[in-house]
Amino acid sequence: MMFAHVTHDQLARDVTAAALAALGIVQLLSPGCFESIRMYFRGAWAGLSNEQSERLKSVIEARTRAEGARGSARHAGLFTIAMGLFGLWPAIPYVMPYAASCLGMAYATWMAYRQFRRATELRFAPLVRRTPLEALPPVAIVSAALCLIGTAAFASIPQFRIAAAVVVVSMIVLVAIAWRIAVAPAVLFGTDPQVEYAVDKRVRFCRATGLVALACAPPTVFALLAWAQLPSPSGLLWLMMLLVIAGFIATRVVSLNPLREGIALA
Amino acid sequence: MSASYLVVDESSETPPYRQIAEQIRAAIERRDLMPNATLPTVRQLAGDLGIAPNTVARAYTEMQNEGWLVGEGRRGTRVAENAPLASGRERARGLREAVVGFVEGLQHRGFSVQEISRAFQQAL
Repeated sequence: MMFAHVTHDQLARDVTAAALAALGIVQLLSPGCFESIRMYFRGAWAGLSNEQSERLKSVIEARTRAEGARGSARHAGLFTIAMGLFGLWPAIPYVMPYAASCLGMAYATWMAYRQFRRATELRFAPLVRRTPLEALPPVAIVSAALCLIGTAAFASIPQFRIAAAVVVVSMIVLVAIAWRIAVAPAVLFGTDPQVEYAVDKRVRFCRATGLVALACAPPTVFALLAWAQLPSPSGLLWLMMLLVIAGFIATRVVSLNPLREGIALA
Repeated sequence: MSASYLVVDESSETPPYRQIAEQIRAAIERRDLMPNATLPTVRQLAGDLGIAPNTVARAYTEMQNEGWLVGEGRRGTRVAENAPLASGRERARGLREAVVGFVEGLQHRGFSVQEISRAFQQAL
């Protein structure tokens, strides 16, 4: 009964602000927890010999050192906390600060890549043709497109127009950053090119698909909260909400799938 | 699939486009790149190596003119089916000439035969 006097909108706003503040504090205190590449190799060690494990460990450590983007992650943390506070302001749609904080996390990921690209003068290049679809599979792109279409449909309702537009824009920017990562050069130092290339492929895939999944998160939150506020939603809107949720789940599954997979080294 | 790797040494006296061409040629001769194997796009290779796309394009063009590669427009560049592979004897002669030239260069710079030999043994 304690929250009986709190409106649905106010409750959603408070919960969003608290969640963003908590997320920002985690980013500040442990900047490596979101963009560290170690988590992409949880399942990679099975089946590797001691010598291969040592090589993989050493390449992951060298790359983590070279990326050194903890400053960007801390900036993103501060920004997320600021967005949490900003979200308490009743004049703005509460999904907007969440969408903006997702952009902050994407910024930290992109800065890690930029830092890494500047880390070496002498670069090795694999003589293998890559396509962006290896890092961003069509199923992730199609799922994100479904999510986008579903969210855009909510713009037809006047009270959600601004929030839907903000979420759509944030989504497009996040997917664009994911695409840039998918087409970014492979940076190999040449110490152990074979392992470096395998690590680069895994990191590229996890980051690109992870950002697409992140891009689908604000639309899902937005669609669920907007749905809860509608007195009698139409059948079409029901379908659109299902599209958004399906898109989010599909992108999440695609992005998490390789984390459990082993890695093949000669 | 194991990949071959290229590297461009900016401090070398050999121009970057020639370094690229020589390494691709060597990969074809070692059979790391088989006939019809697709090569990275000019843009991808230039990005990976951190050099200008024109440099990679020049290396590819030169190798196409020599018959090592085949350009297929938007479909990319692949290794020619009848690449002018050197025979074993030609390869051995090429290696001998390269080593002789390299050793002579070191002797001109004042290194003794013993020093060069010791350095070779350490390097190998």
